Amino acid sequence: MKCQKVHEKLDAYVARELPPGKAQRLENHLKTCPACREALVGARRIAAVLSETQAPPLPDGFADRVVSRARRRVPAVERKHAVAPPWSRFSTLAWRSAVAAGVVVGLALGAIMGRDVSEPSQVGASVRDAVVETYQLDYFAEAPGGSVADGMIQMMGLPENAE
Amino acid sequence: MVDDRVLMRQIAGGDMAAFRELVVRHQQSAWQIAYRYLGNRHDAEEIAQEALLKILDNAARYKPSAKFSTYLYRVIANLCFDHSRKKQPLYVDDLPVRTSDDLPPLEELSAVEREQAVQAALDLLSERQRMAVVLRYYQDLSLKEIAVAMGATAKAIERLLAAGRQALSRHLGDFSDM
Repeated sequence: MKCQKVHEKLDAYVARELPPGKAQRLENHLKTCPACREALVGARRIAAVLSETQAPPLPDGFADRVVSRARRRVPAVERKHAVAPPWSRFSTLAWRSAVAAGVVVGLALGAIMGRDVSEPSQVGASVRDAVVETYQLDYFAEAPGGSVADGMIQMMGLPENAE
Repeated sequence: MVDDRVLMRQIAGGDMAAFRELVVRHQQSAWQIAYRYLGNRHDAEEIAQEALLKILDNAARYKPSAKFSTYLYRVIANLCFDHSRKKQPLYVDDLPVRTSDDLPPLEELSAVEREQAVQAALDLLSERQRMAVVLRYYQDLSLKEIAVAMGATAKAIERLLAAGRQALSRHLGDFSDM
């Protein structure tokens, strides 16, 4: 084993990572090479010096700051995986279409029913006169069309009431 | 304790509590590597945080082919290299860059000064030598693990460590002889 090769293997040798065969060849070289023995001592010293020095402690609140940045950074991910609100099922296209159709049908029915109610009275003037006379409702005789009084006279003039 | 790989699956599903757990587990290593490589607190915290956030961003694509910590070291190493390329020169906290001639003997140094002297010596190494030394001596990684973290062969790491060790001996001078 040559000196350059030994120098490259010293870290692995010190950490006992070398396979037994290579470790033996390296040790054989060390027995005959003072320069490489000195390099081995130097490697151990460097390892000791580095291990003795401590890096500054982790800054306070480090994890909180990382998580805080993460929450600001990935709102889309959170929304994607958040629990869906109860009403969210009604926001699908099918539900929206069904609601729209219901509104249209409701408006159409309302228009038809409203037209029946607002149509002018079919009760003839003779019936109206008969009702006024029969029930002595003279004070309603001049009631304008569409008024409450007129509506009452019309109801009373229907066949079951117009005796 | 829940395995890191399980935590990563939970994180991929949007579990922020799992992410916090992962951060708490690995924040010390992330900080130590970044600080030892970069030499100042501000940049070290920025890079360590960015590494953990990058892991969050890529959680869905994470494939547990190696130990999670090795994956984390690779992310940190790449961010450190990128940072070095973008921001030159690197600064050591309140300490001018020294050569071996500037360093007083070990016995004259306080613990803080020793730490600063070692950091200054590390800062004089090449980027890849420094990262190899940091992962080897401060994280106790094997040659193979360093090789994976740095995207190199184990043989290349051996050479980097040998060169880095010789450079540290020169820069630290008598310091390393004590």
